Amino acid sequence: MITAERKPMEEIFHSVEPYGKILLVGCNECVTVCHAGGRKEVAMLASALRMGRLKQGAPLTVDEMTLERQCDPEYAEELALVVDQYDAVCSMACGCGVQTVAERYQGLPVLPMVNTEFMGSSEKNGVWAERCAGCGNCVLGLTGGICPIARCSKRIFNGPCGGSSKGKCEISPDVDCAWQLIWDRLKQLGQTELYSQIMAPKDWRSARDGGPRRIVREDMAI
Amino acid sequence: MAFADKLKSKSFLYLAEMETPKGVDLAAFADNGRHLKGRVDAVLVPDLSHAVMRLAALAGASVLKDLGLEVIVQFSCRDRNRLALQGDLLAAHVLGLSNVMATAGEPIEHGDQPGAKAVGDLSPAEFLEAAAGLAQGRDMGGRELVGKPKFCMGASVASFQDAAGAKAAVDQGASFLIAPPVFDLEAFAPLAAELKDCGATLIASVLLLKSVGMARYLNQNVPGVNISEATIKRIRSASDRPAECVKVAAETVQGLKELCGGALLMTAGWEDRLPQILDLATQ
Ligand code: SF4
Ligand code: SF4
Repeated sequence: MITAERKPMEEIFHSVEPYGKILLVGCNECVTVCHAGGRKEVAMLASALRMGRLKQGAPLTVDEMTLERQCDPEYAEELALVVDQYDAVCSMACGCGVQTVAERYQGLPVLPMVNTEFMGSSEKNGVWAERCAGCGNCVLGLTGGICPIARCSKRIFNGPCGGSSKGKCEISPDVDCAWQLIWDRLKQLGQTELYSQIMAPKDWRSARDGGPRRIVREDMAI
Repeated sequence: MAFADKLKSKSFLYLAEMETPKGVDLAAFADNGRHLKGRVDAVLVPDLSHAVMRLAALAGASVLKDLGLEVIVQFSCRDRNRLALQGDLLAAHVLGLSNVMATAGEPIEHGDQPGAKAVGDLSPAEFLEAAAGLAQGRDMGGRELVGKPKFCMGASVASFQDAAGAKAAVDQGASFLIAPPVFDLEAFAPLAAELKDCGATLIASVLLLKSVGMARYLNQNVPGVNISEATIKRIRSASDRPAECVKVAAETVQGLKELCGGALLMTAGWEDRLPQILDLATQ
């Protein structure tokens, strides 16, 4: 899933400063799962904003709404009936949701309330960790199911950098060395021959380096 | 005279672009450089332009400097992060190459190693800021340097979008501005007028057309390029087409003398024709 964290309150107050009436819009998908921008977080931020602005002597009307999926134009359409009443839409969805709403309601300022962080999974309650960098050409089958791009600090291929120590990455003792994990898993799977096969320098065109990406499925077009 | 001093003089400046070789045989490169000695005010050495791997600009620039030429070194923000860019700026100073400018760099997938990763850590605007900071004795991390480098900084108008952007580059310390290739003097005149008193010398690029096909390709694929049918026809019907192309470029340079502070001749591999263009342009 896509993970996010709410922006610092100071930044949020600053960004809504010019407005008197806003619509705070959450999303029911990833940001709900990582507790950053679901219905509950929308309610919490809405009351913090109302109270804060009241204290500043510049009351702010905040209405709340949470869409099923903000990155889907079909759901973003639900805002059409009400959106005209507001000075701005404040989105608690990831960057994809914010942009879907901004694209649909061109004349209205749409402000992000969360910082979108990474594609990851939940390690345990309250902890999410990066797992995929969306490189567009997955190598997990060759690396024991552990991603060297998302999980190695230097994003290197073909083995560790030389700074790996006792299974930890040289950037911090709290970070596992991805290449140690890869090696351990390949041993466990009896696939160490994969490690000795040198992978060719990656073709980064499939990743973000080749420019903004799109997926076009002719078979899905109506 | 150093290029920085020439910028202050009111005369029209002649610059030539010289690509480094793809390899290490410097014979032709140095030969072309020698032919420009005393004929141009500076040679501009691009940095892996068109995302094609070749000899590093700093090395090529250093070779030309040793031949007695004034050199402008380009830095591509596409290929280096801020550590490498700052380190190479210091290297440029140490090598006596103080005229520097950045480009954002063409897309990697248009080059000859399309799978490479783009860096793009800094934009050309941030590069100027970094270079200005180094000249004041501080790096981007706020650390003090031992010894301050000196730079004469330039910027590409294209990297700063338009005249307003180019003026911002001047505010950041650029003392020369390189405009994209001019094929139509009339179309270029408004930009030239707008940047006339901006505080930096505006130098227009003049790209030598090498064939009718090249002209058509540029018209179709490069935004903003409009080579007239009359020019294309003129080249097509000439008995000596390459010579006609040289004439067209020289006439553009002649026309630019009324509009801006200098011309940068770009010959895309035909560096041996540079003296001919200069002969005709300076007549
Ligand atoms: S190899 Fe690429 S697609 Fe696969 S997990 Fe890593 S970044 Fe994601
Ligand atoms: S220590 Fe391991 S994870 Fe860290 S950079 Fe080196 S190889 Fe990558």
